[in-house]
Amino acid sequence: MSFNSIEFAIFLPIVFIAYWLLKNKNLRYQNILLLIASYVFYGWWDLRLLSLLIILSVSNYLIGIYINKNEIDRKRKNWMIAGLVINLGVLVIFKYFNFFIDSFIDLLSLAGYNLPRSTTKIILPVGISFYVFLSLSYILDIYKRTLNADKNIIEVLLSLGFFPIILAGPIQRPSTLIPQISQKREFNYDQTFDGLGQILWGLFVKVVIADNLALYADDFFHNYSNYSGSTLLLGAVFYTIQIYADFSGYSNMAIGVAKLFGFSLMRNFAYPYFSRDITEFWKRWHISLTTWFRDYLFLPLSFAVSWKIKGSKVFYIKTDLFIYIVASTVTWFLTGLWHGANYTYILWGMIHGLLLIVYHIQRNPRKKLFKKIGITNDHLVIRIFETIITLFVVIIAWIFFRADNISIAIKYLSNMFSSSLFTYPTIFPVDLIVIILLFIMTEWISREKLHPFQFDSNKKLNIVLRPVLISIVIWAIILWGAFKNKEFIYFHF
Amino acid sequence: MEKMNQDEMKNLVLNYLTKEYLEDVDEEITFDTPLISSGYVDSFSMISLLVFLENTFKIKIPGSKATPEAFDTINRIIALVNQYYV
Repeated sequence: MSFNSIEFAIFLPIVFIAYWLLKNKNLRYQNILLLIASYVFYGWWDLRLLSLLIILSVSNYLIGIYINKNEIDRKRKNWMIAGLVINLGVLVIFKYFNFFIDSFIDLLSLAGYNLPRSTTKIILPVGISFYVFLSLSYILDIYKRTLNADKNIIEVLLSLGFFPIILAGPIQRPSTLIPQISQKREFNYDQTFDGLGQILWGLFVKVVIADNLALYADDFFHNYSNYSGSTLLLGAVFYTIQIYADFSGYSNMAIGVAKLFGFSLMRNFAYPYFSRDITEFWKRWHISLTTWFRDYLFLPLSFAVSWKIKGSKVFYIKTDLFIYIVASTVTWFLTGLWHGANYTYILWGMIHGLLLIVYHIQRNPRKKLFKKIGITNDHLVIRIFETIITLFVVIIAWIFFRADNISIAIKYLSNMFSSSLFTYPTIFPVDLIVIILLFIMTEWISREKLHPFQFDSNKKLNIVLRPVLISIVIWAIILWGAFKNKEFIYFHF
Repeated sequence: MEKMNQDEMKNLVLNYLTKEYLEDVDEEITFDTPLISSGYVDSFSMISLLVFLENTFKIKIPGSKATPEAFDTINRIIALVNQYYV
């Protein structure tokens, strides 16, 4: 079931009413209801895949208990490794098996051995990368002793399969979700209205912005050889906004839905396209994933590399930069691969890794240069220039992410940077562009808020502003919403 | 080298961070200011800081201690260093 479906519009109010009617009864009943609702929500896609989620969650619950009850480090480590093998094994089999086999056959064919390709393809369980990462953080946090293994199986299963986050995040770690699950939740009008506003904004961004842009972006990327450079540039810009609107729209809905049940989830997007540099971009884009990689891979790996190094330089490179390059390369390779079994995602990850390394190499010399020539780092022109440059490189990287393969991405880029880049685009949907500009303007005005529909109820102006804006957005959804595409891009990751 | 006291250690770390990464920060940085969760210190700065701590105090911090929480404030950083600094 998807947030933008009729089924969900029926499902949500039923669960919401039943949940709060249970308020004065046992918290356990509320959690059982949420768990059943979560499994109905997930099982709606495919009942067979629900069994995979349940088996994996129960395995993690048991492994957590075994890690916790063992005081001997070696035994704790063995159970932790068992947990990693099971979770990563499931991910590799269901998500990457076909990719690895195909890559292996391609490699052999280069050496002159032609093997037949299997026609059997393993089905990709929706949201698998998200729930496996939830499970991994559960196991690793227990191992690091930052989380106690919960003996209440309902609470653990719910933290690993909570329906607002199960399909596409935010990757809310069980260490921050279980304490909320095990505490009594009180119904709060402000939180509920805030949640409803956030859901509405997310729905608007998905069906009006993302899904309308998808119609054009898909066409431009499929038929790139038929379009002028300027149209392809427009296509790349459209896709840049589409993927943001699609994913941030989903995240807003997920966070909003969780609020209806008294839960507070972490922020996943913080207006990333207004970032001044690439590090800022990654502090604002898919925050739950980037912090996951930082905490469970990048930092432990950096420490491990640092442990092996003696001296202030390695291969003429300063030690800290060397460690950063090694840890970044591995982290961004895997961040790319996390998104999907395709070389395009890996290359996209590596591009971002490289951009971050370059940023850190130039950071200090640039600071010195600015000081020398008397330019302040906060100069408005510099800020605008750097924001545009950052957005430009992000757009170029999205082309690799969106293209079906690397060869198409390169052709798309070469067609885009042709002489026809300076002609009027073949297709230029003025009405859609006006809506996008209004959307960008709203995001800019709201950039200090968690989401544009976050209203301070103490301000009198909001008593008028709130219903007016809500009416406009509902009207826009009805008038311009594209409801054919029910899926979100990140469901496939 | 004579062993530093706690205040000297904290001031040393504060001076290093201020000079290297927090020059543009308007807010006053104290020993309890959140550095990572507030976005002042990024991943690269954390590695830089790690190398600085290891070189200055002649210690090695194991990977199992590599949590952002342990690096989030100067007080926590010094508490971590104290476990290995003799």
